[in-house]
Amino acid sequence: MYVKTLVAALSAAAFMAPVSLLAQPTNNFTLIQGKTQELGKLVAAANGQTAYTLLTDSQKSEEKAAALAACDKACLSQFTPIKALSAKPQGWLLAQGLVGAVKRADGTLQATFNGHALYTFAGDKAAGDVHGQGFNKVAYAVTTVGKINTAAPKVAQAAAAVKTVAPVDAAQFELGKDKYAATCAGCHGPNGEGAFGAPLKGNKMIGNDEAFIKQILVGSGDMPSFAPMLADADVAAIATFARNAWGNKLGGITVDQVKKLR
Amino acid sequence: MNFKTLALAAAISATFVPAAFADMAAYRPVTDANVLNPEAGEWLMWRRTVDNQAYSPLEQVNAKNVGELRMEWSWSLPVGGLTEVAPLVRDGVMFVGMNQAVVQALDATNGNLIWEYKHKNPEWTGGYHASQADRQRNNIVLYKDKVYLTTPDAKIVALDAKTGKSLWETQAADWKKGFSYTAGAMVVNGLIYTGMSGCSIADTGGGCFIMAHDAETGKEVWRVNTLSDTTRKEVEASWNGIPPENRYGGSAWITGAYDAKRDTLFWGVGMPIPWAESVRGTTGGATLYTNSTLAIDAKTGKVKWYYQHLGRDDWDLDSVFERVLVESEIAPEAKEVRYMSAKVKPGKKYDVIVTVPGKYGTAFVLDRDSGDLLWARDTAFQNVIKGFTKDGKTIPNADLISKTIDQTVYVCGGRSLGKLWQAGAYSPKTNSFYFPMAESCRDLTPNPGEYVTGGALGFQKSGPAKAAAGETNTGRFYAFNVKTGKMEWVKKQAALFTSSALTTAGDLVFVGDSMRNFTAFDQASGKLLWNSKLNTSVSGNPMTYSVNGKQYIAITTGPHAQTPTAVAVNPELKNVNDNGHSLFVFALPDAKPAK
Repeated sequence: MYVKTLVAALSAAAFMAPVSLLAQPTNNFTLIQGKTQELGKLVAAANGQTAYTLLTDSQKSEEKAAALAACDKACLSQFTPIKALSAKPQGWLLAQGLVGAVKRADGTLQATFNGHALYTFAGDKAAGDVHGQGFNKVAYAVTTVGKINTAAPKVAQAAAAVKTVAPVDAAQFELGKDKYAATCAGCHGPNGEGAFGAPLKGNKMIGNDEAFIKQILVGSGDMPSFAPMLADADVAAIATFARNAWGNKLGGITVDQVKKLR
Repeated sequence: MNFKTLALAAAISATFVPAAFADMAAYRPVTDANVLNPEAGEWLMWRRTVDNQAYSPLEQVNAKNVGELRMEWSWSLPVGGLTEVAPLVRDGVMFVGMNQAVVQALDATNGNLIWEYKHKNPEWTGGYHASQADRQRNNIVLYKDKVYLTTPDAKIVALDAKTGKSLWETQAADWKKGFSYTAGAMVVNGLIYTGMSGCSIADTGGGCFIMAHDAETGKEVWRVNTLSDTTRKEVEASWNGIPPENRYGGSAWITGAYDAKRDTLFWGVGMPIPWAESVRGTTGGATLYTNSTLAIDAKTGKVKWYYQHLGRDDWDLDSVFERVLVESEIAPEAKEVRYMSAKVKPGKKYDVIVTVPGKYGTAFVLDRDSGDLLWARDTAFQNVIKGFTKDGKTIPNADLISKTIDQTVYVCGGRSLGKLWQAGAYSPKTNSFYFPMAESCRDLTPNPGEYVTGGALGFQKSGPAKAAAGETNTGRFYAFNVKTGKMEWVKKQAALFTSSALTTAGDLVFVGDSMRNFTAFDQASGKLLWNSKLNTSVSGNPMTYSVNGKQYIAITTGPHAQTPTAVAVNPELKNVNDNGHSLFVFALPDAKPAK
């Protein structure tokens, strides 16, 4: 490895390091929130090993049949059920209502998340490894909101690349300025300083394109969904404005990006 | 004097206005006797007295002459955010605690600045925690020679009342986990009582707290965990197997009341987190002590009794709001109330707690000794409490508890637009309680999300606010009689009533609304007697005080959280400028001109 590459890798690691949530307080948890470079946050076993759902357990008969054809006994032997510590196992930094257990044929309890029975993969050696992702098109990680994540793992290098800031369309920015004042300023402040809503000025989190668009479309907590009230062009304009006003320099959002996420 | 000293002197005079500074020489320390029985012209804590009544015995301004009330002085507040300020006055000095833990002392007769304290806040770990710093309410209280400040980074700070200098600060809970103070303390008998907030944030699992600290040293004396009590089996059993370290919610984010005769605190506890039980994992469990009134021994922190106003909360309805202590006969009229206790003895005077504890607006009157419910009635339309058991326990409407994480329910209970921090006021002249709220309904759908540092864990989607059936707007101001439960009068309008209420011996009740009106109504009739249009939404906590025999009435303005939601029902409500955080002070015109 060249020195230059090493430096790049190091700074990449710093860039990727998630804001650390505090350590779990006890050992009573069956599942925890895991963090990986390649797949982001996901459900993990208590030791941090990535948890996978297997399509061989699917409730859809066609999907299950295809999975059983793709993954024979040797394939399945790579996956070990995550043992639930009790019939009401606990999850740390996970929505507890999604954490559960299912009784296996041998009488042992297996951890589930949002109904998905979970396994660890023999090829994963350390916390955060995701070598089982997409294994024989049968094993997939589960997101912390309970969805099966079928994405291909992002190559660390790609994630490390310096994020280029998308160009900002001036007309869109102006439209966004008006729409922001009419729709958003009440909660987020006329200058993005925040009030009832979170501050947007200096808020790096709104630099995540997908998360920010979804926040506007879907809402969360006290923030309502704006999907029924705003056209795609308005959402894109507001997002573009907020990401590039008040000293923010986070780049534009296109109407197409919004359309895809609606 | 060398140049260096001169520069220093100049810097000091910029902070401390010399002429006004002299007024501080007369400032007398607040005694326990003052706390329990304040002088008529003083206002030493959030709701003036430990019973939270927000009633002033001043009557210079009264129903006969209030029409002449006019502005005496005004002041621009130095910080933005939501305005939930509660000005305090002692010995002619007004103390104003604001967002970002900024405190100012002003000359109460003209607004001249005496001192300012700015707390050094850390860089917040997440958006929700940052917004907590912009919604600080009644964050100061006066006691002895100090001003006690609670901060968004979960500290209690003791300031020298005369100079504004910090004497000490104590870290009550770990702010990095998400804990914060959003409400101020009650201080009496040498102890500082506070309720912790921010327990809806990702790393706070394990409990939320009502605490006592030594007023001289800041040392913790006791704490009550609002989410766990191993001395009561039913509390632990109510979490459906979730161990204490994995429980969230139960923020005690409104200041409680103190009963000196019983040496007891009555404190409210907020909702469980996440909001929907299908996401929370507590299916069927009442999640004690969330949504409860706690009676706490003020010396030891022992929970003497609890009354849960709403178990199995699936809708973020809190039940944390002001507990008001009143002495009254109790004789509810059957047609007015939804529940009346069979045990009530006619003619007997009861020491009761009057409270509209939750966003759903139901009024409860509880016996202070037993915690028994004496009567309860609805105010705004709500569909979350289905009824009451014979012994006065509420029955939540299980039909509106989402069975699965994709089930949408239509809830009339005022989530984001119901009863909120705006506190009601009681008047002994009418034996009535006056309180602002909003009446609304909306769709709610559980929506699991990711645990992010500094982020809140509500995890429920909400549709736009709607007016209740048969209604066209959401602003409400209610007056009900404590003895009979009778609704004496109600104001309904599009503009939200966005300030707390104030009652006075002058037969007046003051309240402000989101369309800039600051209004005095007649307590008995509800008749509008005086109104002034201010610069922006009227917010915060109106109060009154007297200096040199002259009565003043103070109110703050600035944004609040509810109008952005109410605009879905009445779009015209957005026609208010959200800037302009200010303080206005009114008096009768026959007084001497301002300095």
